[in-house]
Amino acid sequence: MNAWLQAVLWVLMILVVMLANGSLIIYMLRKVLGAAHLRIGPQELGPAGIFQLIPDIIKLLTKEDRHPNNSDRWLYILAPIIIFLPVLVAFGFLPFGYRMVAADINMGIMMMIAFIALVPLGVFAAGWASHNKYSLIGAIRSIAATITYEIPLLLSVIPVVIMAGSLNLSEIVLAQANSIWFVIPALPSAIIFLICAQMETNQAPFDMTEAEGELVAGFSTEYSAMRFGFIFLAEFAGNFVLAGLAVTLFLGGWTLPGVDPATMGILAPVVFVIKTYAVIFLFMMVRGNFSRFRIDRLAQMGWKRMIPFTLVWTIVFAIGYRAFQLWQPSLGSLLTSVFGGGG
Amino acid sequence: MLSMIAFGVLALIILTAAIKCVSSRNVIHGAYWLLLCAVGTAGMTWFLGAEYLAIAQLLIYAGAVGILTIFTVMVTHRSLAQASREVKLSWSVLVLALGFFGLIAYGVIATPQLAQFTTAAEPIPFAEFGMTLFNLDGYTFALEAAALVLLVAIIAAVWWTKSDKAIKDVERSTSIGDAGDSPQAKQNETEASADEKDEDDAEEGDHAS
Repeated sequence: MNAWLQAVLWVLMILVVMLANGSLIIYMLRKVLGAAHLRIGPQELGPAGIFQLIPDIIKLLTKEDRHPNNSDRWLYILAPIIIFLPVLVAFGFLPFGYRMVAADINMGIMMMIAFIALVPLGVFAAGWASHNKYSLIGAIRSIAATITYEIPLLLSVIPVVIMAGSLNLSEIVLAQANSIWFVIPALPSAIIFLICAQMETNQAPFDMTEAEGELVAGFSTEYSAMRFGFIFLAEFAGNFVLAGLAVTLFLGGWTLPGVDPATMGILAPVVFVIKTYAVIFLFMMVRGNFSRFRIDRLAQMGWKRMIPFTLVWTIVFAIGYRAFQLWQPSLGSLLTSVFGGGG
Repeated sequence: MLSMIAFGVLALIILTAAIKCVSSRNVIHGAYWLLLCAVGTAGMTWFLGAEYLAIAQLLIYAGAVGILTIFTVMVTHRSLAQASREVKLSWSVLVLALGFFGLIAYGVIATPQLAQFTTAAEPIPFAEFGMTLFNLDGYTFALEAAALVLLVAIIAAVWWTKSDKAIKDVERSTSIGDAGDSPQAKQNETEASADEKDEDDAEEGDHAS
């Protein structure tokens, strides 16, 4: 029974983190995007408008929960849950600290990406069930974009796996603590990963699924009240999950360079969360500074540029890394002779 | 005890989803039931300690095939009204299905270690699994042969997405067939020149799909 209790506690904790993350990201969105657009953002409630969220939540909770005529009733009700659940599960694989992970499994990365890949099915369900042309177009775009960008996303992880020698996220973090952050040797992969993450979370410049200028609000057009809230909560949580995955894979996870991982203790989750929000900040700056891609350009960039580039880069990296491994002893002695005991 | 409960719940999910997948009149609903069935099967293999199989099930069947199924329905039926189908019962299929079920049931009962559901104490180490799979003494050749099937599919996909003009160019350069003689070929010719005009549109449309 202990294991079941632990599981329930983990789920509750992840839900709390999701809610806190949602409220923080809403505030960040308003302020960061506001600053990027030379606006002030909310400022009426509380200092610098930090309590703006409270009336928002009241509004979401008290709005009428309506179903459009002719909507596919059950799919319409289930869609926000189909969007929400995979993200909730994906949270469980993120290592917040030493042994601070809900499910420490051998294939953490694969599992996370497999669950993130299920989100567009929920998006599609929402778009289809709404019986609205804008929703449907948004949903189709979402699926088209996802099958494009999931391939480079998976491929960009391979160099990290080669270096760490493991698919376990905790071990990848420890491997980085023992050497260097993987962003340094695998910078192109990190950039590809961030672009695909931006895509997967439906953020501008890749937010074709909810391009408000042409599609009202895309797949979520017909949703109101707390169902709409659920969709947004899942979206913000997806933001956190992908930023956290980027931190785990490329930016050393919960460790700090030069600090023994064993001594991090309670500081580890703090470091992890700060790094994650730094990446989210980066997402938002990209969001605020680039204009939206046209859907065909988006597909073209994915199929014609990103996938070939990632394939070639992965092979080049694998060969280069093997060569580095073979010549490392002589390289190390060379570095030592040049920098005097540095290497 | 707990493993039996897990088995029961998962089996119920898989069976319900499978039956609803076949019997639901709405094609999209069928696709989503299929998705649930795949997720349930992934859960079952996960409890058995076959992590790799579970993830393949999730990534390939729930993720890729699920999306592909829905995409296909999407391209062929665009409104809710069109997405319903007749559910026809066929005796021959029933016999076939029962025969298949009997075969598998016999296989399971005849193999004692398959007849009881136990959760694995330790998942199979993934690195070891990979070494077996990619060892020359292991399954490398089988794996590569399976990969060839995918290669054929990729080549076919590239061929389909190429415009008529590009195919014609290839045909001319390799001088297969006598283009220009039959009326069919002439019609293709005019189509090709029509395609040439809005080549950009066609190309972009192809890649978007």
